[in-house]
Amino acid sequence: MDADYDIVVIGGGLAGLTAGISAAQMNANTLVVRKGEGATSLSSGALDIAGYLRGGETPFLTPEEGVAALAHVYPFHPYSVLESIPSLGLKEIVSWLKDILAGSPSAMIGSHDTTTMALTILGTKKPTCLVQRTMHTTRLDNTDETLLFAGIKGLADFNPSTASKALMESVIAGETGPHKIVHTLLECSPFRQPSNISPVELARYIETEDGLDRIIKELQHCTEQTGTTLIALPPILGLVNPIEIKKRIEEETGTEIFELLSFPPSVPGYRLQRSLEASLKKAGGTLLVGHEAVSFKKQEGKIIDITLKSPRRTFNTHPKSVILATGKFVGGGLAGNRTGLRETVFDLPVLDGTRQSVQDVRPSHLTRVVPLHKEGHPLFECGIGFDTRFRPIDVKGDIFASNLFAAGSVLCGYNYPVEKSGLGVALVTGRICGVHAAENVTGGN
Amino acid sequence: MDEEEAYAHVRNTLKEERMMPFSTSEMEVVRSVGQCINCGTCLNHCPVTRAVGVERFTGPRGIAVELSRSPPEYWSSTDRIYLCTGCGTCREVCPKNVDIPNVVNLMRRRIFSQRPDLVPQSLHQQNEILRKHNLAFVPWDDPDEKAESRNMRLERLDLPFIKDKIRKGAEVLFYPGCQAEERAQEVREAAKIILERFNVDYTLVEKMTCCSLPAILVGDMEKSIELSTILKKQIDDLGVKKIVTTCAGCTSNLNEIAARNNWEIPVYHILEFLVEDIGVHEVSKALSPMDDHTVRVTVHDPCHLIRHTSRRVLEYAHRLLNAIPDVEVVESSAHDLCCGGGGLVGRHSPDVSRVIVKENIRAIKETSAERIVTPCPLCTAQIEESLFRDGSDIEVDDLTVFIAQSFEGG
Amino acid sequence: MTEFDVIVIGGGSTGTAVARDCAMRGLKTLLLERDDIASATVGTCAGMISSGFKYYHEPDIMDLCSHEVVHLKHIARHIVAKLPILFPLMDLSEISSGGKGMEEYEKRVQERGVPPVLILTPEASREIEPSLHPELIASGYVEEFFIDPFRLCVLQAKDAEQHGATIRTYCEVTAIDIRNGAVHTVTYFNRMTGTLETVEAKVVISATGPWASEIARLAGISLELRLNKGAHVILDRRVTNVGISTRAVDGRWVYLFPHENTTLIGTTALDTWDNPDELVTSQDEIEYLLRSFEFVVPSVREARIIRTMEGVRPMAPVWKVPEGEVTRGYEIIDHGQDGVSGFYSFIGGKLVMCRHMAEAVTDIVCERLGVTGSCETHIKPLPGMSEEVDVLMLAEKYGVPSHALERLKARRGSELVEILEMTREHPEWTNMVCICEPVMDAEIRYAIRTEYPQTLNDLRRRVRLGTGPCQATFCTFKAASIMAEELGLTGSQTHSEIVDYLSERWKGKRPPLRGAALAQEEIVNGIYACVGNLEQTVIDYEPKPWEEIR
Repeated sequence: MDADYDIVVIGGGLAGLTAGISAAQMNANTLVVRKGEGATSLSSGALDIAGYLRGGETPFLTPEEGVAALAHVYPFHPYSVLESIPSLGLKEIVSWLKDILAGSPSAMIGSHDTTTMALTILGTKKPTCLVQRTMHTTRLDNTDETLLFAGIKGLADFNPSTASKALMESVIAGETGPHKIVHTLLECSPFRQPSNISPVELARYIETEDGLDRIIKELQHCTEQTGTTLIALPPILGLVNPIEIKKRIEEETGTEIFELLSFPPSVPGYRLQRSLEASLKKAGGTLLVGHEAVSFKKQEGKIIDITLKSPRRTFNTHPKSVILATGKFVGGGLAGNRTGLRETVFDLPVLDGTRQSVQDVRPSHLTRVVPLHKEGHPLFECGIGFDTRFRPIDVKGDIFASNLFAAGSVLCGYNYPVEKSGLGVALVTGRICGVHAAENVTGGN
Repeated sequence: MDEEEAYAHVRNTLKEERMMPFSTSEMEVVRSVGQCINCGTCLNHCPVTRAVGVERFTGPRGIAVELSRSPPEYWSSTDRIYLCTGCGTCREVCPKNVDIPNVVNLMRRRIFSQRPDLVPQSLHQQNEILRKHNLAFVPWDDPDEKAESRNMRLERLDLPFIKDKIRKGAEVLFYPGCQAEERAQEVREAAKIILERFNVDYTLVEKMTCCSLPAILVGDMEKSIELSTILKKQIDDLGVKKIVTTCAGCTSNLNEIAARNNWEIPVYHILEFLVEDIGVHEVSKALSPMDDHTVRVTVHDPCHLIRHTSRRVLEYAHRLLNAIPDVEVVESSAHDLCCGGGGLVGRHSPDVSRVIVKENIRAIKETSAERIVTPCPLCTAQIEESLFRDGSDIEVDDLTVFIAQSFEGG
Repeated sequence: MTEFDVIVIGGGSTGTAVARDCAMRGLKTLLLERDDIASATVGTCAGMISSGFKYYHEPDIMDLCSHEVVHLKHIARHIVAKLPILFPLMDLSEISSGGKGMEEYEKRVQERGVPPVLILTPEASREIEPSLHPELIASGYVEEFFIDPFRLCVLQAKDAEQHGATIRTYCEVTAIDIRNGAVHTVTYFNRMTGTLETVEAKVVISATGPWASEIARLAGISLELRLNKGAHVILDRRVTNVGISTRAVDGRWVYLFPHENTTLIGTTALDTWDNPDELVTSQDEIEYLLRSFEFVVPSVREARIIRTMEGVRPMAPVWKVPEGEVTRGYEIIDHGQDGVSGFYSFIGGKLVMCRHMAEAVTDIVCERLGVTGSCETHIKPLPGMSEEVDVLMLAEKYGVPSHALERLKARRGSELVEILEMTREHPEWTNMVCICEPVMDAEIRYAIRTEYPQTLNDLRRRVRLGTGPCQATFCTFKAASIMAEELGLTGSQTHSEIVDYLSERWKGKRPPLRGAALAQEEIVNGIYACVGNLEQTVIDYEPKPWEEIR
């Protein structure tokens, strides 16, 4: 049976949900459809906006400065569109997201005018903008703190010894940081097993009285012995009420604790994904998971029909606006074979960062000879081209459809792994697309 | 050596080396696993892993890894492969939609055919019942006792009894599934009441036989094919144009078989039939307040509907519930979490099944609903038993029964 | 200055076999390897200990191969497996081409306990291997044996050590000094300590494969080889049930073998004059292999490619014939003929012959040094080979999943008990560090403590770390920390180790990059660049040879 929505958003990561929430807040009847989880739930849960220029070595002083610099240096960067929309500035968008997430498990701290150097589970630091409240600390630059890296015995994802050595070395090399750094392994096993504990298991365990008591006792013991004032934990402080858990542990141990940025499978990514989904619902939007957009119909320059498919059912929608937020290779918005790259829903032309077509470029030619490079792999700059309203462009450079918008990493022109701009671009473009799409529905523009 | 002897030799070598050739269709399932990027999202969501830990149930990702080597270590995975409830959560959250539920069925099938000694005894027992009766449960010995049990259930629910109809050339086949046929008879009866109410031209099958899902879960391919063939013959004999069922498992399984074998007869859950064929508006005309006060109801979403069929089926459920006067629906935070009743896990490891459902029970109690409804007799049984053990007084109803109960003058 | 009877240069299959034989016969032996054990040629082969089927025009070679298969099965049964192989025939003309080969092959099947060449109907062939082309008319069937080449080399080295040999990896020979027309000293650069060390030797044996010319040059000798590049494409998981061999687009024989949790397609053959350290697989080689198999396995392109790998065949200098017609026999060059006595080089040879090559050269060395004693390398088993291991019992006893133990057994045989014992004191070492294989924390520590790995890449050769579908995406940072603990690495050394290993994996992932690997690579960049910020953090990264030239 067909379903009618004003707006269909294809893709349910940060870009898609941000777009969906924005549209729903403007009273558009909005459906966000998602086939699987993607890069947002795999993310560290921190929201990067702009860290470096490609090839640069000095982080931007502020995300705002970074956005301006990226837009200036790369005219095709998605951030370059911001200049033309004064009503939706970076500041407004960042505070909008903070409002959306306020009170949720992934409530965010930070601002558009401060770069936060967040500590990772490898003991490295990276520039970011917003971090979840549980990941936040202001005391990392205090030289007189005693910092404890606390791992969990049986959790292979985090080795506190490596992290503490790495941070100590950077402090010795002259960076600001605690002069006393210690590390330990806590005994805190959700199922009494000695090994193969997953972060999410721990997060759920800590939400039980038993688990919380356990970790508090272990930490108390350790802080007493070492005089610890600040504790770095892997991100395991719960899925539903991590902020209360953080507070509780801090009270009981007399320290400040914070979670490190970590890798998938990610607890903060899980929290962020769920918090955004809840916000969509609160805003009046509908989330339909387990459905994939398999085909579409276009008439007179407009998308008039999207076909959605679940394992055993297929149905059509007739949206007034469509937002494409299907992600890159992880999300499945882009795919590639030996001859080139393609976009998976509308078969839009895929372009590189300089807007040259990569339809017929072998993926390996879009990479560098070393695996990690400050300039980044051009492969990750590839995506679909867009106009100043984030409407995808076709082979001829014309708008593909007047009511189709695109957001997030399906877009070309930015290299998030090295720029540290991933969720930031998703947020900015998602927000703008959501507003544009809703205006399109209400005839506001 | 002639060609036949040669082939016999090769088969023997394969057996000695513990190699089991994958068929073409199995190879497709194996290839779907080739999309796995090891991200572990499935581990965050798998209800079994959540309940017992990664150490005991390595989870979907572990299963994907283990499948990749058939010879010879393959067999060492059996301690985990029977813990999967087949809920499909992993496939749904997977960025690449790797088809783990099918992988699990495939592995169970291979273990059953090559190493039946490794299949849990309880699954063999289940299969014995299937083989003997063509039903998932041992049928009632005495038809009178069965009728008496049915009447008691109907009386308790204040529902009328309508005689069974078996009519060739009917438009719709109502297929209740084994649970509603042999155990939860009120579901079967409620569906008949609903179909009658809207003057649907329906029939039942002459002789109830299983849809084949339990045989697939045991891994007995031969039996599963036999069961679906028997059912198809009955369907052909009756000449129906569509099938309506009240069971979530039957819905997804029959849909799958119908698609694979080009039945060209659509299979719907009764909720879909009510919303799409009858229409919510029409249905609402028949509904009336069922109590003298507002009834707070929470819903449990059966995996076989939301994840193996479509999440929209549960949207329909909400539309229908909202149409019943004085029913307030409250959402449980675990509404779409597997209840642990699938995959025959309850038979083989009841301890695991019980830990899984704990989270559902916790969340249901948190809603302060007085009733929980679900459009699947199997989930109903699992949740009912668990709530009972928990000492809770929350009532549990199959959604079909709940709808029939709320009919005006019902 | 330390004096050795024998210095073996090269830690591949031949070098380690020579060290083992020499040590077992009581010679004071030093093995020098410039990189890691099995790090070059042998590490890029498919592991087939071939019956020599392809070389029917050299019956002596077939005899030798066949005997050696029997010996390897005897000494290393725990790392040897049998693989059925089909030769699908698409056309009648292909049947006649096997005549002479079949006859020679069948003479030798009995000693290996395999059947003669069997002919299967199309139906039977497709029953065993449904991925074969539906229009095939029949297929030939043989059974061949495979060995884990990494484990073979490591076990030979360990066994040599247990018999008194000294094994030095990361020691690159820089000079061979000659006195009175005989080898006198060998100088090597110890890359771990950064020092030059010199040792005396009565005999020097160069088992350096494609680098034999370079080593000979150090002694002032010119030694000609014909170097021939061979590349493999590695597919994710076992995409066929059995091995398949067919003629390539140019009529050469190529194969597709399920191997561990992957499938290997190989090989190409290109004469090369490049530095073997700088070679990477070309797009043409990838296409050559895929296109060749499309004729018999039409779905071959649907499989996920995880990487390519390439090696160099150190063949005898026979020219003006195709690679396949160059003898597969080996030759021991006595450089006495070049005025340097006590110096021997190997050219040619195949994996299956490594033990035999060692026996032959050790016989010569013993005669020269007046040492009596006969070869026992074909009688005494390699470490880990003992009675059957009861996996289910051990899984229960040590609380480790049986699947992980089966894999451990396949790599380690009875050594696995020692590894499990380590987890008694540290139960958390039963953590699975690499999910794809899987590899347990304790096995990594055991390998570091007893098998001289210095890098994560070396660990890969010991325990198959990072060889599965995700190609080290998720195990690298975990294993690096374990290595840091065991070897006392600093934080920045640990980070460098991570980037080094990512580089090594990237070498093979990059040429065939497509399909599911694109998403995998996005994750790699997400982890190590986006979150880890290692592209900014690791500042002392030294480009690899294949990275420098581009």
